[in-house]
Amino acid sequence: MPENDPYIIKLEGIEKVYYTDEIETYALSGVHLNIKKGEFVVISGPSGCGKSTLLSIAGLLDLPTVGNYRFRTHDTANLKGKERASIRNNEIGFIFQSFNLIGNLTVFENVELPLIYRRIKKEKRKEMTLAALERVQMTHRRNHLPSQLSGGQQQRVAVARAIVGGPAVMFADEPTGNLDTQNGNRVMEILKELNNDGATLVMVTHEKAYESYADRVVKMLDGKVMEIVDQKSKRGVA
Amino acid sequence: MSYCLDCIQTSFKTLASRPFLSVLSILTMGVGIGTLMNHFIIYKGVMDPNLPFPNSEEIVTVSFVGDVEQSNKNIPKHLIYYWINNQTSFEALSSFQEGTINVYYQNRAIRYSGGWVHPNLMDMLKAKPFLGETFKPGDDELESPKKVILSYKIWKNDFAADPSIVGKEILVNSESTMVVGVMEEGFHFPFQSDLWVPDTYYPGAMLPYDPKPTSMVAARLKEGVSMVDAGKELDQLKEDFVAAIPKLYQASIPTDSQVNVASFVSMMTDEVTRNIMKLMAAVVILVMFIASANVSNLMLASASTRLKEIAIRNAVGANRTQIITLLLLEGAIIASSGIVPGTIFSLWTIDWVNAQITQQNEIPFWFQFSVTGTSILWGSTIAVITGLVAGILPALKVSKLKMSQILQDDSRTASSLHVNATNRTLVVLQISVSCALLVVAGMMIRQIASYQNKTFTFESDSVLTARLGLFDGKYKSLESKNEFIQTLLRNLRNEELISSAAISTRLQNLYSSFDLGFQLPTEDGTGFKDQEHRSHSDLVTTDYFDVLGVGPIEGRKFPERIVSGPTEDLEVIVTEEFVEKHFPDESPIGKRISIRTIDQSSEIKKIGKTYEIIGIAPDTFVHNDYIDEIDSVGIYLNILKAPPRFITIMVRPAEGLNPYSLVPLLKRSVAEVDKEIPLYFIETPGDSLKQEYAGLQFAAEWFSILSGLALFLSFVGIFGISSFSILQRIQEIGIRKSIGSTSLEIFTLILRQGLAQLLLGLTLGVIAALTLSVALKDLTYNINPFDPIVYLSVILILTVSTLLAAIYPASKAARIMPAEATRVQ
Repeated sequence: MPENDPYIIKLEGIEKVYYTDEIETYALSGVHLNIKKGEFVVISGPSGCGKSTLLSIAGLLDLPTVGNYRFRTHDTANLKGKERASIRNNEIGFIFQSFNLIGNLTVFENVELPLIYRRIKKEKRKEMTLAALERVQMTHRRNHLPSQLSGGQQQRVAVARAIVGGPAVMFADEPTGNLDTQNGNRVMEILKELNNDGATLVMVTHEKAYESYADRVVKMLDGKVMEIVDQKSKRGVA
Repeated sequence: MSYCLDCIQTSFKTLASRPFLSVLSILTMGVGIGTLMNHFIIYKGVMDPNLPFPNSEEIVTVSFVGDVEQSNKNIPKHLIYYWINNQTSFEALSSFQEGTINVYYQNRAIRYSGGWVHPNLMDMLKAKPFLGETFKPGDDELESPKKVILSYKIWKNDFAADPSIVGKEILVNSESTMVVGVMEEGFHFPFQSDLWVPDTYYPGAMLPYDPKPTSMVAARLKEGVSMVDAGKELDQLKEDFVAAIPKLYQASIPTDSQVNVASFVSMMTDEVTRNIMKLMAAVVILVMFIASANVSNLMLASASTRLKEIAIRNAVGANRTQIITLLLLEGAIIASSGIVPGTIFSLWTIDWVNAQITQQNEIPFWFQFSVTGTSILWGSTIAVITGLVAGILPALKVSKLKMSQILQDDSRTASSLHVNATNRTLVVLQISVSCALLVVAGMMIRQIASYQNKTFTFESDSVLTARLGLFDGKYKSLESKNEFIQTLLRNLRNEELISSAAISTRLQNLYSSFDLGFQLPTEDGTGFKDQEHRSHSDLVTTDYFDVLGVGPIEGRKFPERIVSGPTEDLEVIVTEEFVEKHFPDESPIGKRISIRTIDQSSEIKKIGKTYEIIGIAPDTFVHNDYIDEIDSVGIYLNILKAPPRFITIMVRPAEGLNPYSLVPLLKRSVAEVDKEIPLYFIETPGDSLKQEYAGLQFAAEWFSILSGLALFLSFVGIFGISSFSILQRIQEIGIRKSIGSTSLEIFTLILRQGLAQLLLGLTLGVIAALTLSVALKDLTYNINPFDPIVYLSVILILTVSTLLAAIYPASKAARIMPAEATRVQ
């Protein structure tokens, strides 16, 4: 990718096919999507439309069956498992609907985990972890286990874990799906703040209300991108 | 490194989050590791001990090995001296024999196991004296002053650690002998010896090239010389020696045998023991396999419930190697957390092992076992390796999963791993290994039981026996020995507490004294048939059969005293079995047989002497050299005609008395005849028999422990997998119940899974058991590898334990409420 290329994510002709016995199921079909650095993109659509699959491929958790995917300077088709893991660790942050915190690790240890895999020294890890927790205002609960937190608090911890390593892109899969409106709004505010600070954000959601936070909304149906709404320009027009 | 430490920390957290399973795993691993440590200690102690002399690995011994014969370690002394004077392969070559040595000092008579050794033995072993000196060249000559060296142990215990003991005279085998030294603490050689005297070599007093005086050889190899080369040299020297001696005596050297040089320990540990050690090593490996399978199972089960955690780790950047490392380390931690309980188990049980070992007679001095740093290190290393191996399967399985699916879908957990099939396969293997081990243990236990049920035709717990030696220093002549025997018997018979007393040559009244070759009379009674028969034989006094309580004899007994010379009135008493075999249609009383003399030397062997059969005695039984053969004695001779050096006193107590209550009386009676003669092996034949079986008993108990451990581990495995299976199938159970399945049907469903594993495991196990027991029969004892009782018992035990292991989880499954189950994701 040339240095002046504005796109941090370039998905071209992405297909994802699941094979069950002799039946082929197309989860994604001919998806083209480019995302710029610093953009906040929401992927929306009904259940089963392929939005989470698209997020997994974009987040290097899964491989497309067909198509090209360039993530920053990496042509992902040729990456080995170890390299994909390294990119996830250094350049990507994930937030999941069901928080996905490790139950027997404390809040601090959960947030610290990506830094351990990055082999950062303990003192530095502590400093970075506390900074991330401070950002989501969870420092006071750092020694608690996930089971001792509310859903909203758990998701804030998950956000802290996603941002602790300073990722280039954050992927959020229905981050408010398991939260009440108040906690959902709070998480969205944090995400927006991060985006305002320069983070690129790709979020899957089916809640219309949160589409307004995005610069662009990618609407999907049956594994295809049906429409991309540029809300920034809309806002600009307005 | 930092990552590994984090992994270790995480592993401990994971263990702490499942306290019950973790404690169970740690304890079972602990027992496994402890057993492994103990086996290492025993194996090393028996097969490769650290002997208490410098560079003990250089010490070898020599035997003759023929094409068909067993190895013979008894080498004619003439040849040994020829080797000593001419060999170049060894730093030194020496000789030794071990046997009873009587000591009388300060009014105490004590019997020791002692060594008759070549004067250079201590120098060859590089063993230093604690006090005084060792033997000098020439000490083995007939006219040299008598010398003895004491072990540190008896110097301390029996000589009051007398610092001026060197130079003092004590009676050794009734001869005045000077103590010249005390060896350093811990020194023994060759097996249990506690004192040493020079093995007198006096060619002039022996028949020329007489093969009968023999010794065993110990030598220290020169650096760089192999055992094979040393053997070749000794073989060549043997050929040279045979060529140099008169033809008449050449037969005294086994020219058809090869000289074999082997390490001292390997040749001095009998083959059965070595084979059992090897077999047990294989068994321990199998037990560790079961333990490993259990850890693996536990980790698989654990991994399946931790898929989400592993997926998160993967999502935040852990690569495949890091995930595998984490799981492998967890396996190693589970396994190595058993090291501390394992060491405690080893320390706790090694004393029991020592107690079992020391129950046996005449065990080598190096059979003393203790927990060492090496044994702990070895057990720990194997434990960690076991854990790592156990972690490989779950690690590989988990690392290949599609993590994105797991992160998105809570319901995809264990099914993604296909752990059920793997778990069940491991359990089937555990059952089959347990089955094989239990069958082997069962066979050995049956063998023990069959020995213990053998009838010796006399009440083996009703007679007290004691051994004593009449040495040439005081009892060289037939008359002197007979005087001792007859005086002792007369005194014993006068005691009110004693019902009857007799003397025999039979050690502890159990073991065959010697074989006799004999010829039956021709039909007309004028000569003897050419065919030679052989029979177990014994030398006894007249009341021998009364003491045993085997009933009256037909004909007459031996006379109480001999009135004529030893070569006249030669008489024998034969047994009922002997009569049935050789005189089936007539009374043998009054008939004559020709018996070759007991003396096996080549010159005298040709002489046959005629004996008259004067009585028929009931059958009594003796052991052969090998424990599994028990035969009837055939011929009894009068001990007074040829009293041997070692005799066994036998007394039957008066009605109602415990035989052991006669011990003081027996000792006093012997002391009254000769206070310098110690009694030893004082016990009933029944107790002697238990000692004889102690080795086999120990092996059987050790096998039982190992197989019990295997059974327990399998039980835990089946229990764990059944429980885990319910966790996985909880929704299925809920759905089944919702559509009408009864609790009993659910119970049966879960139980059936356990029974299917059992059936397959038993099939494989029986095949493995047959293979193992056939090997066991070849390697050790004469067991029946197809013993149906053993197989049926093992199948029953495994069936019951499998049912027990599966019943609790099955009943738990049956109690699950449908609404609760269908809610579970």
